[in-house]
Amino acid sequence: MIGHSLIIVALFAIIADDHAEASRLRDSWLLPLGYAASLALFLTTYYAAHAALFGTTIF
Amino acid sequence: MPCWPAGSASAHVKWFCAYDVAGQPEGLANVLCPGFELLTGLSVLALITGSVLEGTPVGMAMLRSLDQATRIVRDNIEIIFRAGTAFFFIAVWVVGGVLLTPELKTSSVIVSAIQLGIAAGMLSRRTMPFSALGIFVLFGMGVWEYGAFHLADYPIFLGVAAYLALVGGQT
Repeated sequence: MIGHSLIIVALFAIIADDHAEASRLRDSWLLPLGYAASLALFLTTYYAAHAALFGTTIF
Repeated sequence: MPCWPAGSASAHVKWFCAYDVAGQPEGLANVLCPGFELLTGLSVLALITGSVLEGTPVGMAMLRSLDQATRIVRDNIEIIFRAGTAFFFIAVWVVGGVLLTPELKTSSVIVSAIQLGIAAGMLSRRTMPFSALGIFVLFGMGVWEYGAFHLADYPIFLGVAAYLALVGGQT
């Protein structure tokens, strides 16, 4: 709990944010693409960086 | 990175168990298990549902309700941020011997003084940038001792420091 207090406070700030502008329409069909691309980028970066730094294998 | 369903002690294992940052991580073939794929699919579904609902009258009503319910938090977010930060750094100061998180051990005597100084800096807006500087210093010490890869788990500290510097700098 104490170790995560800063994260909890940041989440409170995000939930409470009222973003005064009207929400714009999003292209919903792009969401799965963006999500999958972000996930793939994160996993690739993590494993590639770890392999480069510590000589480990990816698969 | 554990597969779903995770055991009770699988989260943030670095804080509670012996670890080796240079050790072989779980292979990607094991990480991308059916449980992981199921949770990813559910996340995408939730994102699409939220995005579609957002522009409808129901979605707008939900947003207005949320805004109304969280007004007290929004109006006092700076105080909450300052109190949370002070609470955190007093706690790690009391524990002693750690930089920012339990596994980042240190024997440096100056660290405790910096942590206490960061907490004290939350008392005034004018001193918040100094607290931000203190957090950057502790993070830098962590990178120096444990490496950037290890500290990449903790960008929250840089975000908090940036917030304190920007808000404090407005005075």
